[in-house]
Amino acid sequence: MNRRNFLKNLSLLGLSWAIAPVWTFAAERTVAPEDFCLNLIIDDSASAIPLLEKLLARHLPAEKNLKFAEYPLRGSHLADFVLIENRRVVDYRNVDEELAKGVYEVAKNLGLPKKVDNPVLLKFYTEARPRLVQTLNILGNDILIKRLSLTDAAGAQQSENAGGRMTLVIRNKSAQITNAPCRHQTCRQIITAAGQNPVCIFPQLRRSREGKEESNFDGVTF
Amino acid sequence: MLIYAGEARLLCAQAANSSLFEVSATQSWFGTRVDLLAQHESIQACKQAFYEAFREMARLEKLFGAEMPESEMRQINQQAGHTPVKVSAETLGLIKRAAEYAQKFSVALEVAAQPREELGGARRGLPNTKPELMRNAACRALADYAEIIIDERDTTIAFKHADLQLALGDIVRGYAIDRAAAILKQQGIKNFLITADGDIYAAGRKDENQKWRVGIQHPRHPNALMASFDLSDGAVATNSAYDLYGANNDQRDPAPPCQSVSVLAASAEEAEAWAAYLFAIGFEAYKKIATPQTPAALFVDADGRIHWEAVWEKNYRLKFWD
Repeated sequence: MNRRNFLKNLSLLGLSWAIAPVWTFAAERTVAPEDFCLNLIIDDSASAIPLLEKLLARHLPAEKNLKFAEYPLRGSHLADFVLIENRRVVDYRNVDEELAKGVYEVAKNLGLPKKVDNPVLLKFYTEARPRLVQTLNILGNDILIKRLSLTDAAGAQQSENAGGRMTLVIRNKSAQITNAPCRHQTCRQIITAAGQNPVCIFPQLRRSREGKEESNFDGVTF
Repeated sequence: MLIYAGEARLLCAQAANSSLFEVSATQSWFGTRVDLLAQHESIQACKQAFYEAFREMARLEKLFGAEMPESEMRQINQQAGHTPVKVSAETLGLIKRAAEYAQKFSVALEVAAQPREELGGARRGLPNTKPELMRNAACRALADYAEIIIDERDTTIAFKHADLQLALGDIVRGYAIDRAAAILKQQGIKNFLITADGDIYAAGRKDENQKWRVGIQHPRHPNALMASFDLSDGAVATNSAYDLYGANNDQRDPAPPCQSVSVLAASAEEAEAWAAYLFAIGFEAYKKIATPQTPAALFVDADGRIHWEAVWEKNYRLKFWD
């Protein structure tokens, strides 16, 4: 990859981060030196995922826990990989290392980089231990609008989509919707009643919480 | 469109060469959140299975949603007190089972009919609709399962009383979870966890060393967990005062017989029905009716004391939190 393309990809990744600021870890989190993240913006996830499954199974150590996430993106994007190891972006096309070479092979296979419309962001990443931080995803019509760290982003936050504007207040690692763009205000009641997992159906805005507590539960009954 | 978040666990050397991915998907359903979580070697296979499971749940929402324009439930409600409504065998079967639960438990569960006024309250999003049903004698009489006329030969449902409406709320959620579980199994997914509004069904294991780990939310502190246990090939449902009444639970008169109850059962539908019933009668009444066939239950009584059977610790590795 030449320097221009590399910088272009970095700026693209910056756009992804603007949508998905996943790096806002809380102070109590121990920074793991082995942090790994492979982002791919692609319009054909069905072709890409099997290739990446094989690649990562081959190159990642057995003790690593690899997490996978997929988010739809809106608009025109440059499809390409961004590889991050030890919290540093790796120019995978110019590094003499097995995993980077593998990523380069997959990129060639998929014809990257290329311009695509309404792609998905695939993210494979590891963490040294279950995260203490919880991230808030705000989705409108199932499109990711904003991601917020519940620990870093204290105070009022606003999200907007075609359905209107929603205001939520983040404090004490939890979020409360204080204003929704509809007469129903159902999401506010759901939060009050259940304490978590609110869904606002009417303006097609919903939020989900990501990340696991240290206790590592798979589900909670309430 | 679904959101997937997964975790891959690479097996140790003596295991097969393939790696297992932990893939999850979330979607809203009936105004609540449904999470699917599965262990599988193929992310794509999970995505396909999840798609089919969510499609099945969407079908059930259309079929049973009282406010869905084409739902059979809406037609039954519109014709209440007038004409029997021809319904599918599936709808008839679920309503019949709901009525059987109500008859078996001898209480006016919400699986039975609700007075129209109460349902209107629920539609407006007003709190405490379900507890009021339990408490108000007049409502209880109106909500009698005997008000539902089920004709199995003609596959019709009718109400004797024009002021009644059907709202299959919790029981349809349990049924939908069971259907989604069946779809996932059909699609070849053996290890998965389905969570819908606090109801959970687990199949298989999280990995070869560990079953699925489930937390029980504290009934007075919604951001805290009071216990955890392992679940595999079964369901759990919880009814709690906080969930039903909100934070002002203490001010209610009369006080609910217990703060919460969690019930283990083979299916989510059964767990839901038992949880609603046991929450209505409380721990003292449960002690009198409990038999070896009664599902295992964990109670937090009105005074905050916790009661559970030995099977929770023996078979489910129950652990309490401070």
